[in-house]
Amino acid sequence: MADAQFRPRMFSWLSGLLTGAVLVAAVSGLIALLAEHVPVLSLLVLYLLAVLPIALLWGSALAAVVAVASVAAFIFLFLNPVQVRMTEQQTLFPLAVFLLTAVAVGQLGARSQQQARESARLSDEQAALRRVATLVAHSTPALEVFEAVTREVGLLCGADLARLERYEEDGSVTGVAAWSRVPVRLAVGTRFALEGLSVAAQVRLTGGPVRVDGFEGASGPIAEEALDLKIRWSVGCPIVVAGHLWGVIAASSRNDVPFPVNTEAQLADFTELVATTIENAQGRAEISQLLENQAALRRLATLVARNTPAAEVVSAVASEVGSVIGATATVIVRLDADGLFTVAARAGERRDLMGAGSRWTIEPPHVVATAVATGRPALFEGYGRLSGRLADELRQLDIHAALAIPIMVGERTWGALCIASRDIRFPTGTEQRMEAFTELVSIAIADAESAAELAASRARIVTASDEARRQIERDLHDGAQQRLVTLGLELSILQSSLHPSLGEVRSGIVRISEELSEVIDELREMSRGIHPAILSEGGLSPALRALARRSTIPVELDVRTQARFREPVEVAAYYVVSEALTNMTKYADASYATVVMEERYGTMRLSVQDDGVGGADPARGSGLVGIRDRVEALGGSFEVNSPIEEGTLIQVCLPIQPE
Amino acid sequence: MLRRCLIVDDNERFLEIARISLERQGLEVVGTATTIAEALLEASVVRPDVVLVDVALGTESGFELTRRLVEDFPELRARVVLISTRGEEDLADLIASSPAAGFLSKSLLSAAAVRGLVDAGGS
Repeated sequence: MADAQFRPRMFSWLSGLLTGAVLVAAVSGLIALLAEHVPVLSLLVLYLLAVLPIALLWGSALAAVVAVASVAAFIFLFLNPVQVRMTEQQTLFPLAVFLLTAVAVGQLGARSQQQARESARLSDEQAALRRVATLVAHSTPALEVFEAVTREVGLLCGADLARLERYEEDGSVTGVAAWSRVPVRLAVGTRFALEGLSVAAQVRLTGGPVRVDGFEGASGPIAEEALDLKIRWSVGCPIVVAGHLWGVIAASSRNDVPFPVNTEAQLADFTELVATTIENAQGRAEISQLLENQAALRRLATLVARNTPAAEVVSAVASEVGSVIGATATVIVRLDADGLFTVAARAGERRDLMGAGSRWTIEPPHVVATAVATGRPALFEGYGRLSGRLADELRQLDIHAALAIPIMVGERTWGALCIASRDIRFPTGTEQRMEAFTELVSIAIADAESAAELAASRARIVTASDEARRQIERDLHDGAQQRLVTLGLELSILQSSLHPSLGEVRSGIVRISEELSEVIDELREMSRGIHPAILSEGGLSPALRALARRSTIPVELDVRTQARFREPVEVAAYYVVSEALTNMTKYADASYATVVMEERYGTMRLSVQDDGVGGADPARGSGLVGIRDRVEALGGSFEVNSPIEEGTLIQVCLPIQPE
Repeated sequence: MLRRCLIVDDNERFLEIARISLERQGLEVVGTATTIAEALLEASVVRPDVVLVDVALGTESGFELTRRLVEDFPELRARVVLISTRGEEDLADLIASSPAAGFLSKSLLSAAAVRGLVDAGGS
């Protein structure tokens, strides 16, 4: 090794000596020419012309040698050496002064030259750092910064090759950026195992800057590549991001001259910039991931808040989770009463596998079954014990990691949200991110279930009360009304069979008959208010016509369907028109009304319009509130449009089929 | 001149009183029935001049019976009178679209009223 360092220095010295000799010879010639005109001793100073260039180019030591050689040549050529040896003070003194001056000048020259070089190198380094720092400050994409850093480091260190590598969790390194002065193919983006000798391995071992002196006889993929590239020297520095060893920056040279001692310090300056870039990039990635997450959650929460059908919310959650987490496949399964799982939603790749609507027997150790059984998140544990069609489909998806989160609705486990990925593991925090999504599914399902229950219960109440009213009307009709009518007939029989002499009795019977007739009429009105019997007899169309006929304001009735509908729908429609007409008669001061009934797209549509004063407000406790409740209980819609002085339009949609 | 009458009603008490009332007024009640099947059978046996049909025959419909009577016995067209305790205005559409001679409120039932309706419908 010492031999290797010595050889170029030796060569440099020899060339310096040779140059010095030539310069001394040239100056000696000049002195010889001038000696005839000027005292020769005063020309001694000209030898500085030989000393100074040597000092500048080869340093002070060689300059001193040249100074001594100059004195020797001067004595030998222009003085009598014997006389000099005789110590003639007049001659000896100037010679000594020159020698001292020459050595001092040589040292000054060499030092200023070294300082000039040093300052040039420093300014180069500063410029390089500034260029990289500018990129970092401008939030340039990390990869561009890495490339710039490797290039600057390579140029600054006079290296043939510079690399930036990242340590992976599995103990390998990935080439992130590379720069090369020589045309070599450099593997960027590929992973190397850290076996054998390498700068990266040494840096990881020591945690500090390292030097590698030759790869002769070393093994391992990196050493082999270095040997192929004829790398002689390598130097590397760790890149530490947030207290963790993130990667390494390394410069390599094929030169026989080792890197200067300050190379590690130069690299260290750049590693800080690299660390800042990575921190920035990670911060940005985290922020954008957070924002993406928040946006997805907000979109879904909006869906939930808008009472979007639970099935739609569930599909939306699956696709949002899939894209936010970056899963290969996302599936939301529902646990059915029979113990099978139904795929409620499926997003990601290969949707033919475990597709939406398919049903499965899923048992531990499958993550979904584990999550549902334990009520806690479960992580994929390999296919080992899985068998059957489910395992086959999962294998086709080539899943390496899966995570299932149970979906709870109230106290009950409804199902699970499961994400699967081809990567080996999910980023940390994935579980927590998914939980926010499963909560939304829970809310949507709980809402939908309670809404469905509420609607069903309202519908049941309406139906039950209609049924009760129908029964009361029927009982009145078959019972009291019938008996009173019969009684009336009996009275008239009695009346006609009375002897003419019993005039008083007869007039009493007539009076009772008339009273009875009024009671019967009143009862008929009452029972009609309880339930429109005509609906049961003839359906909606004649019933609406009867309403129109009874109205005191002219009604134009346009019935565009003669179909019969289920009883709650007919009853609701009847009451809508009945109540609207009653309201109109009482408040609207209208001159006519139009009633339209039609069947369209599975709904019955009713509209009642008048030309009255408007200003009807169903919120202000009119009979319209009861109608709205009845319509909504059947899953229908009820709208009142009643601008002041512009009449009233009531529009109702009723689903023909129960939900 | 209408003389022979069939009454169809699901209320036995009413049938009894109506029979007495009508017969006193000179309209012979040749038969009574409480269901559609009974009424059709009775009609084929007694061949009445006029049939009084209650609109609501329990779960069965008097309108339905009217159609079938006229279908089976064409001579009964405009010879069926619908009767009910309910008001005529509620049932007007159904009455108008049926082949009945007309409608009579039960509280106004009399032989004269029946004859009046049939004569008006027949003319």
